[in-house]
Amino acid sequence: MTWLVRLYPRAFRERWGADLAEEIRAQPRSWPNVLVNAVGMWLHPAAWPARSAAQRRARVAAMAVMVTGIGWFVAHLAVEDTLPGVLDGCAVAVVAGLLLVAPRPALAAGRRLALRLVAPAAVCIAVVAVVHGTDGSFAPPLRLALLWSWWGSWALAVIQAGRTVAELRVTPNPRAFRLGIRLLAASAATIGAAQLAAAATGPAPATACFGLCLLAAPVFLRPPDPAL
Amino acid sequence: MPNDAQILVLYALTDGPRHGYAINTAIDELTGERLGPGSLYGALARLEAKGLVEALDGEGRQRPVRITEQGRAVLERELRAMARVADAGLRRLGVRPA
Repeated sequence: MTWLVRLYPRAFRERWGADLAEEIRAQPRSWPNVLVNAVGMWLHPAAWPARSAAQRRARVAAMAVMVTGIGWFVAHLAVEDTLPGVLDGCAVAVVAGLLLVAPRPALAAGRRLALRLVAPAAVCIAVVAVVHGTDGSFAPPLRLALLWSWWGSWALAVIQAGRTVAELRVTPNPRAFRLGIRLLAASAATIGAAQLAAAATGPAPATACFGLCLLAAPVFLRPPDPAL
Repeated sequence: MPNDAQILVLYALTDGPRHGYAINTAIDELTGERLGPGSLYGALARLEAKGLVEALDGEGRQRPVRITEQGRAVLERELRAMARVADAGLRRLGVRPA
């Protein structure tokens, strides 16, 4: 039964997988408990092992965007004609929530990138100036040096840009982030309620089920612990 | 607020760092039954996310876990609250608290 460990998120498996497998071997009849908690773990990305609080927030943000996005899409399919006012009202909250939780690079990252690109840009400009300032006939050693400088500068610029992108962090203010997550969860629940209302006026069991799932959004769509 | 499984895990760690299996053995000794594997590691993951326990370096892939100062403070607060409820409840039932 240790294959049940594979049902958990990868971050959880890497941290607790070996221990969990040992405990499953000790309690072979515990598979319902393992299954239920696997579902619970997928619904609470804030609890997955993480390198930093920013990584936890990024996971919760990803979950919020996904739930709201799918909810929005299905809601338009189901209740666009019957309850357009509800969707319009939720649209404002959804946009505000997305703006609050979306990852955004700090301004410092832009400054860092500009500083890192100064050297390669200067070399490129110098090479262009040298080439255009002469008739273009260079001795082999100088020609080789210019070529190396040109392509070396481009390679350096690409590496520096990659480094800067890799260093970007999700840095929304924690309070704003919590507000954004709550806005998205409330919007998802409102959309779910609208779908339930639409399902009540006609036979639409799938819409009702999805509406019920969205109504539960505030339960599982929660920001990480404030202590973090 | 930690749930029952998290309180039990914090309790089991008050004696010192342990692996998950040893934590469950301590819980078994206290309550007479082990937590389900999913409940145990779900509780550990949530406690770690809240900063109430932390992993130590260990041999192999399994790492022992220890309670943090914040974890001790939370456990003490929860146990005191439970003790107040137990005390008041027993008095209403006319039973003398132990």
